[in-house]
Amino acid sequence: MSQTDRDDAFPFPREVIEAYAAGELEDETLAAQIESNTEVMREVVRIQEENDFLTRLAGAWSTMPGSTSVGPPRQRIEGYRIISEVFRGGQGVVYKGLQENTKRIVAIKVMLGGALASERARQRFEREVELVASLRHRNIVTVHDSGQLEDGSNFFVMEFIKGVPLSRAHIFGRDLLPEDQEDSFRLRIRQFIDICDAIQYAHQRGIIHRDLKPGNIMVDRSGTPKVFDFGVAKVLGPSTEVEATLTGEFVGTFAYASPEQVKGDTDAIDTRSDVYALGLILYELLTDAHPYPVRGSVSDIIQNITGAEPEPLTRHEPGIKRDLQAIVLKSIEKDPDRRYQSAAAFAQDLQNYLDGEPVEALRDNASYVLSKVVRRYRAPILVGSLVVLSLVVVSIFMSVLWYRAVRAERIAAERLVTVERESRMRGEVTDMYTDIIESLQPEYGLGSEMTVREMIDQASRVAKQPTGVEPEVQAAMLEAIGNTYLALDKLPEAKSHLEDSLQLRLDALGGGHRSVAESRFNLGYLYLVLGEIEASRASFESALAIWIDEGDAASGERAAALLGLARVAERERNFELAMERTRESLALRQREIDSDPMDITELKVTMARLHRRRNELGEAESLYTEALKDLEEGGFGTSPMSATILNNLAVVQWQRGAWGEAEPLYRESLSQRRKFYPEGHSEIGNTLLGLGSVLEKQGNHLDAEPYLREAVQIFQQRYGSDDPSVANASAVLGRVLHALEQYEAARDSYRRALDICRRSFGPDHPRTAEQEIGLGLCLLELENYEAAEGLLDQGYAVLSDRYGAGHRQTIRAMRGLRDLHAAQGDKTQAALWTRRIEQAEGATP
Amino acid sequence: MDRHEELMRTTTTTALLEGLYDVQDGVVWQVFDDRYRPIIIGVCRRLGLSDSEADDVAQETLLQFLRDYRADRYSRDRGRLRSWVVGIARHRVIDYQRSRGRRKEKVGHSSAMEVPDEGALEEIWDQEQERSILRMSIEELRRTTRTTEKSIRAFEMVVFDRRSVEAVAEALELKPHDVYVAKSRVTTKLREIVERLKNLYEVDS
Repeated sequence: MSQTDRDDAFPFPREVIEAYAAGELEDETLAAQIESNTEVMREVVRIQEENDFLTRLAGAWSTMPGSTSVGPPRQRIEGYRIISEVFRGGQGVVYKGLQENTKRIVAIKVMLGGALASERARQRFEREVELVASLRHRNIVTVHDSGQLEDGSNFFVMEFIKGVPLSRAHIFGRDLLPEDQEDSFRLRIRQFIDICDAIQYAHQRGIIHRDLKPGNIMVDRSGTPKVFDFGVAKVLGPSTEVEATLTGEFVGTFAYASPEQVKGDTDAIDTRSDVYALGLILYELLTDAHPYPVRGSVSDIIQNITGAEPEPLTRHEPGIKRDLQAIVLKSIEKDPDRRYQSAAAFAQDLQNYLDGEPVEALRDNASYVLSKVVRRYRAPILVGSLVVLSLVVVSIFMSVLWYRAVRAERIAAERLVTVERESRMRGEVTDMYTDIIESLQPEYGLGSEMTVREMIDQASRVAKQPTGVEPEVQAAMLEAIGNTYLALDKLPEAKSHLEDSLQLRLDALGGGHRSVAESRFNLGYLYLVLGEIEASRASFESALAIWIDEGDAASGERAAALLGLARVAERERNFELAMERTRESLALRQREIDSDPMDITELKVTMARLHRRRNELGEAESLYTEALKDLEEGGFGTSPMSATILNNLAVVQWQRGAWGEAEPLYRESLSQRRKFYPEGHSEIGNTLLGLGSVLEKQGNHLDAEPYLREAVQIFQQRYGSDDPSVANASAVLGRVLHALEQYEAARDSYRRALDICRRSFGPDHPRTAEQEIGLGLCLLELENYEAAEGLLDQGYAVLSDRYGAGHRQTIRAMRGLRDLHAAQGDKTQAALWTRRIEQAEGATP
Repeated sequence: MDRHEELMRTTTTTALLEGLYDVQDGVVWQVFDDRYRPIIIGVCRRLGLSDSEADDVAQETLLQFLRDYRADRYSRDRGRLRSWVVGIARHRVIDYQRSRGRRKEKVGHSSAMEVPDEGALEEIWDQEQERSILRMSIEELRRTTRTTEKSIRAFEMVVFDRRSVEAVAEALELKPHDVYVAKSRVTTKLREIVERLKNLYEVDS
């Protein structure tokens, strides 16, 4: 019997019966009538039971600790029907819902914290959601939709995954079988590699997750992991979860933060922070433990994240193999530079492990241990060099052994020799060697250049007289040594090694091999640095020819060679051709499927520079700005490259004479460079000089002075006190000090500039003359008239000869001479110079 | 309806326990997990654990249960499923409170509250189980019902918002009579679902 039928059967309106059942009927006559009707009384009992049930139902929510509302969630979102609340966290609430038009079940995440604070934050949120919504990967939860609720809070709609958060237990349900331990590790690793692929895919699209943790990875019923919540955390600012840490309570999500994240250095967070979190997740999947304690006070946790040595995995799971352990530990290195540099590299090494190939991580450890030992012995050069020498020999020996291990395995694998594998292996040998040598370079603060020189010289002797080493390996070593010499600016040595390496490869592999192309390409850059333009062009062209034969597989290399040719043309000041080559390179890069956005950005920067050099400032500015935007979108808005672009944009403004525009650009560039470069780096010096100069141009001498002083100091330390860069900076500093009436300091600064200019450019060079005038003017103020006169005369003679009488600098010299004579009381001479100045100024258009 | 949903709606816990021996069958474990995790979390939160602690305890408890079960350490003769799980959870909760107590002593807070004995915990368990079933029923109703959206809204406004029938009728442009009918209709449907789901936990009853 349906409800309606039943209703019709009663002689009372339903409202009356309900009121009676609820004990709220006041009309006693009516009540008596109801009580006399057994049918109706049966209905009353039914309603009362129903009401009891409903009270319990309402109670099921209202007594929940922390619950603020009675009843299940009833957010209304246009187009969706909310079914239930799935999760409530610090950041937001996740509902299970039904998309009404498609009838598909979706997950709807409503961000807590109400409206985003500003229009800008909202736009950022939308852009981020848009980016994330563009991700299509089988291991990433697809985002379908997003929007804003009436109260201003944001929501987005995702694919609903029936599954559970990733955990050791849930991954396959197999791990409870100890006899299958190795198998279950391997299964887990395969699944984990899928996660790495998803992260790599997102990274290539400029999206960093920033909050990877098992809770953000769902495993569906087929065992497929799906990552979600990309990047959103950052856009929305610190979540309440993070804030809760300030109260000292344990916070779960904190456990997966990287050292750079807990240090609060948001600029240092990059794709490698995700690699770190991935490493922790794998650690946990394999051991069911964390590498360091993450419970306790926040300060303890931070301490552990930034400082605690991770516990070996074998402490928790003795069955874990050494290779696997090395891989996991490499991924959670505290220093991002020491981790895998990408999720793909991490996945690749895991694949190496699964395939039984040597793993990158162990190779790295070996070289690291070596370099650590070397570091320890570097100080006493004489005693140490012996140790160091033997270490270099050992390292070469090891790389040979390693190469052979790989090779033996390859032969075992049914002599499956492919060009790619060979070149990859060689690449690894080379990398290893370069790693060791590079770790000893002075930039890393690891000993004097002398030690490094000696070591490489020794390495060079070993590499040139190899015993039992195949020519390909020898070539790889010579190349590594050559590149090291190049890095040390020892160009002739670099040249001889790289050329020998090329010769060996030509003999062993023939002229059309891709290794030969690599050699030629490297030499192309070396010749360019050496100023051997023809040789450089020929090298790039023959590398390009080989790569063209290789077809699409080598399109990236072709793009690189074209850029090399562009540099050659630029050097010859053939900007037209340089631009054309750069455009060709860009076209190739843009056609690549997985092109690195940084390569494209670099090409834009090159084109911008070419425009700038052709004085096409508008084009230069817009390309630089575009490149800067690319970087920001890619998460590199604060990076060495963005710092350089900002500096160059400032130069464009400088060229326009827009000092006021240049100044903030220089300032931003400087603050970024200070972050990325070690103190005293020449790039910092360049920006300091630029900033000091625009301040000087604007008459802000007081602010300019400290920047210029620092620039001078940096250039002196970096290039020696004879370098023209020191003269440049000293000259501007001299002008500033003069304006500040610090004549003695100004005199010293000009004297330094003058000495260098005389030596570098000769006595009759206008640059030299400018310093003479500057110095002369200082001496005039210091009343050293005799010396002042000699300098001003000499400077005036050169400049009037070179630039003519009407030039600004010539007039400056003339004014100096007038003031000098006036100061000495020689009115006739002073009047003479005054007339000359008037004539010269009249002649100036 | 996929297998998970079907098991969730129709299979008794007893049958699920049989299926748990099959280590390859993730779905059975999943259903078991979906059925008991909310209860354990609810119990833990009633004992004053934070959300994340409750999550951790639930995770550890379920895993311990699975391990014990597959190692044949649980048998129905030795007590009901509820007592077994409550026993595991209780130890975990005590561990948590101890470690928290230590932390708090360090910074001068009072130490942790007493954990009730197993009998008291089982009572809490039953309440949480009912709560969980009620919640699941509402969810199923919303997902599957052919009842109109308006009826459900009327029902929710009366039951959860405790608004008067007259006010709801006015808001939804219905007659009070219709609101009563909607309430009654939805309730009947819900009670059917609740009854069915309750029976699935029969191993405990």
